Amino acid sequence: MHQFFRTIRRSLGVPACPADQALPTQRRVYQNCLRFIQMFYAANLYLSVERLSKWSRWSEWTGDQVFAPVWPVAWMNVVDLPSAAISILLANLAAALLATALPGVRLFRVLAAITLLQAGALDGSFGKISHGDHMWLWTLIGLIFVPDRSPTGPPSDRLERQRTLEVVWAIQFILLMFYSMSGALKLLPVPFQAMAGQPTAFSSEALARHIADRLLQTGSSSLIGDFFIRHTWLGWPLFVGGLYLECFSLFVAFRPGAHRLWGLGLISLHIGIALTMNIWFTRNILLLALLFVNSPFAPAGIPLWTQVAQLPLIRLAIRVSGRSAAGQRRSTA
Amino acid sequence: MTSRVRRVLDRYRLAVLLMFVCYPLLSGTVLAVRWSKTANEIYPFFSWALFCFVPGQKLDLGIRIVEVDGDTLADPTFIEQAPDLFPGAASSTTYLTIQQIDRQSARDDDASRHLLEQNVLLDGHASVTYEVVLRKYDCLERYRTGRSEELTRLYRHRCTATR
Repeated sequence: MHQFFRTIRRSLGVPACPADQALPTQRRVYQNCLRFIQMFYAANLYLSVERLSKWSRWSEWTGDQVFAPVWPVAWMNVVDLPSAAISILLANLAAALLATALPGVRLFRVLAAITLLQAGALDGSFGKISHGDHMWLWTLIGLIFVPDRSPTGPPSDRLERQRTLEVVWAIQFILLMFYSMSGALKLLPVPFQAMAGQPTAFSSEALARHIADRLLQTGSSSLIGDFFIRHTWLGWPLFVGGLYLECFSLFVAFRPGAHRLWGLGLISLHIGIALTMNIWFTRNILLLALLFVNSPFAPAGIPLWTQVAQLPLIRLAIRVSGRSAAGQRRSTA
Repeated sequence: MTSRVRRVLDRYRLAVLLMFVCYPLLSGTVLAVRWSKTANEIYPFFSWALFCFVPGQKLDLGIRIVEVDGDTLADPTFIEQAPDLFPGAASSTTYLTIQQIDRQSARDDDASRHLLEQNVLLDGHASVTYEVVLRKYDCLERYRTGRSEELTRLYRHRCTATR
């Protein structure tokens, strides 16, 4: 089994660590992971406070709106809704506070995840589930699996460090998988739409069409959406670039050297979507900044070109061109 | 690395691998089964099917407001173009709810219509008369000119606040 996982990692491009560097590298990355966990729970506390700041929405609740509870808050059907809603927000804040103070205690991490599950479900119980909290929630769920650790306990051993590293890496992987799923589902309809004579994701006006559709649906305007609708061809490289970022995200999980650039790329994607379509995934941006731009696994001080050379397709192109150059040299010799 | 450490780590990795396989399988199945529904997900599992289809020629439902609190509008307008009258109208939630409304008639058991009326139309109003309209348009063309190719009125309905 161990050999199986090693083969997978190597074939996907995870660099091998020299034996004499393994332990110092593990200790360094472990410290980075602990720093990430602390920063993440501090940010989670901020978001909990922000969520609670909208308490007046519930205290002024008149019952005129239809409440269609999502399964985690189905119990709210039989209790007083405003009191239950404010209780969820307070519990979310309390759990976030405890997890920020003692992120090593698993119980507090479990409570932080459960209370956000409830708060997110409450938010999604009025006709549409918002996806702004999903990645944050899955990160909280993932962090439950970080080994339980008392602040007064003995220093971490090798196994505990490795388990922490693997959990943080698994969270990176699942977040990148979400992007890849989104990218793959954009590519899937391309042949069907092309055969039906409809515009596809590779059409020059694809971005303009998405922007126009979204703005018409919501009767709103955006900062630069109108510009791209008027100059449709300018959106083409941006849309294809977005597809590239989404589709190939999964590969980046195995290339720590590319984490920073990829994180910046995905943040740019979210900012672009916000400025053109008015869809603000602000929490995702914060999470990408914490987990990828400041990736615990990214090697320190590597030149920009080396980072670029790790990017999907570019790495492949370099390999292919390197092989063909080597082949030419051999044939000349 | 000792064999005990390896065994523990392999269990961790196997669990992670299972999750990576199960998540897309589960959310993909839900998406496929409930493709045409607004709620094509089981929270917090989501397929991340966002902007999959590039919109070309569109056929959707619109809510055209005719009368508010007894006052007939001089120029009947679509709900998303009247955020001053209906603050909750300018949202994708409202749009998705409208698309689920019954196309034949204002049925009493139409949950989407009920949701729209209570959460958006009657928010601050005692009564609203509206038409459910089938619109056919190209989104770029409609954005630029404001016109749809075809508008078909399906039915008219009047809703009133119960409290």
